[in-house]
Amino acid sequence: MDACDSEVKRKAMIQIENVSKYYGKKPSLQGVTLKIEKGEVFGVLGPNGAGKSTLLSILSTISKPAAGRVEINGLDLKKQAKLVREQIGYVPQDVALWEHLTVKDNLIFWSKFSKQRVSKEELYELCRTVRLEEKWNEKVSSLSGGMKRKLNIAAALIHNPDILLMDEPTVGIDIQSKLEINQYIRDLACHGKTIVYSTHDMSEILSLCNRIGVLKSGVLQFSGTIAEAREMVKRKGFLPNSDEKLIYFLLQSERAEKPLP
Amino acid sequence: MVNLSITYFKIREILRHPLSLLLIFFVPLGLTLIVGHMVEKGQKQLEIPIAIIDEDHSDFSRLLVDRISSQAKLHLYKVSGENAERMLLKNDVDSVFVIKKGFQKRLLTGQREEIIDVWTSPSSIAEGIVREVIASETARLTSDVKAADWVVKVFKNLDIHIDQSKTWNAAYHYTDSQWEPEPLMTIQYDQLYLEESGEDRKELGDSPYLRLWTFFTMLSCFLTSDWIIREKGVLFLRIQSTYHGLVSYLLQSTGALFLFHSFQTMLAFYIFGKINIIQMRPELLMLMIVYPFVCMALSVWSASFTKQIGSYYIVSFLFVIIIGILGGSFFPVQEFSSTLLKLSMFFPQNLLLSNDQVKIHTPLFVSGAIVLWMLAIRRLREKR
Repeated sequence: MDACDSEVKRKAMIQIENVSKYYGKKPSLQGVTLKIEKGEVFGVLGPNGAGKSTLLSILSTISKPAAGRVEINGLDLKKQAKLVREQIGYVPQDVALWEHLTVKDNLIFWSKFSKQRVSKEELYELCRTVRLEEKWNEKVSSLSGGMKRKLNIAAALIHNPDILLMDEPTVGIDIQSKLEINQYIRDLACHGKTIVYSTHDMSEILSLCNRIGVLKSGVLQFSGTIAEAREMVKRKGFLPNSDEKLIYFLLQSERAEKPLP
Repeated sequence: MVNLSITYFKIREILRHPLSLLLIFFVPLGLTLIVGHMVEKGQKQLEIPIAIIDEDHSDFSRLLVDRISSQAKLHLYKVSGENAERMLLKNDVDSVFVIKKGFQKRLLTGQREEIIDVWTSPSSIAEGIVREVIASETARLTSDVKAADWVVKVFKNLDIHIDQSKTWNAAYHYTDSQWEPEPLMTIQYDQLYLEESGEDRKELGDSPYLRLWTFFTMLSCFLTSDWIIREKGVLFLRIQSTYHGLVSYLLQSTGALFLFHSFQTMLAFYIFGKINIIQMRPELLMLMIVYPFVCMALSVWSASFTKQIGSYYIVSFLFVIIIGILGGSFFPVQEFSSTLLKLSMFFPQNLLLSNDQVKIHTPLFVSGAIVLWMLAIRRLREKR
């Protein structure tokens, strides 16, 4: 995953400063501060209700933070939401496709939502990239779960965004499709896309992400690389014998220390 | 420049799906014509069943039976006494009329009392009306006889020799002809009514067609808004993160649907005009186009509250029926009480089915619809 590190220039694509969000009186995010760089695959970890989806919905301009500031590629998320939307591609937790339409029509329809015109040839090329070209004229309802997930990701890439926000994009699919999607995500990162990836799957985190952020009850417990996490845990006197156990420890522990910038 | 590519795509999608076209065109237009025709036919076929027993078997009694048989709103059974009683008990007939023996003889001697008996049951409802019809026919016979008798008497008093039988018959037939096509001095109730407000009433839903059209159009608007329920979960979520965003999508999608509903309305206007249900006036067409706009606002607003597609269909159907009843889609409910008259003002059917005295101004309905649209969009953006 670090093979393409040198190819991309490091630049802060996402800057989150002290962001909070409440649903009613219940806090969903509390004072989250985070910086994600260009070409990075940033894994967002946390148990159910930790605030992962809330963080992604804020980054994708779907909901607004109650407090704090978010900058996406130098654009203020609150003031320049429309411009921000051209920079991001959002892959929701569930498949967001029109089941009664064909693969082709789904991609065409999603292309209508972007500012730029995307040709049918470009859409076919995108379809080919996710290996769905044979299903081009088939209805989405006839596709397998894995294929739908791939198309779900392709739909977010139609306007060639710099940032991809993925909310558990491989949940509930077979291992083969999951591996294909993971490889595709790695390729995207190598081509300079910044990816924020929310998942429960520890193996995905370990194989995909350059850095991780651990959320618990809306609070960012830790952010940094796996190596940094290992160092921090070691300082606390815990010596995990595997990365899975390390992440498990991070998820269980209270706020470890001040999150790394 | 406004990007309408979503609208074009939606229009193409609607055109490609027969079910959508069926809901937009057949439900309001086809069902209105079919059900309207059935209602109209049913109204024409509404006849009161009565039984008649002819105990006299005379020329006059046969003539009376024939004339009653030819009455449009009566269905006559000529039966024996036993059968008549059974039919009355089984409610097969509303009432039974017995032309008693000596009917002709008594009429000829100028006696009109107790010449016809009436049998009724507790469930007889139209006996009074039928009695009037029979009394009228009996009066016709009596007056014919009286007039003929009087003419013969006049000639006799003047000492003029005539063939009494021929004169009597001539006078009888002349008097009888005065009842055709209708009795002399008949008050022209219908004519006076139409002269006062004939043109307007044609548009106020006297015909069942326009009333039914308001119901089926509203139903069609609700049924074709079900896509909101289907898409408002994850699709709306993703759309909100796109450049054009959810508001644009909602406006363009509903705009595309409104185009089809407007086209259906224009088609209905043309067909109703051609079969003389309405007067083809531009103001009426405008009101007819405003109607689906208001209905769509109601349906989108209602869809913004509903989560399950099944409950949306049930609630919509009940909602449309209640609004249909109170708004006057099925019958002129405003004629029942002043409260209902006032209440009906606030329903969209008021745009088409009421006269000017009880009409809320069209701009108010349009403004209300726009407010509903805005509330629905706001709710759909916020509630995910």
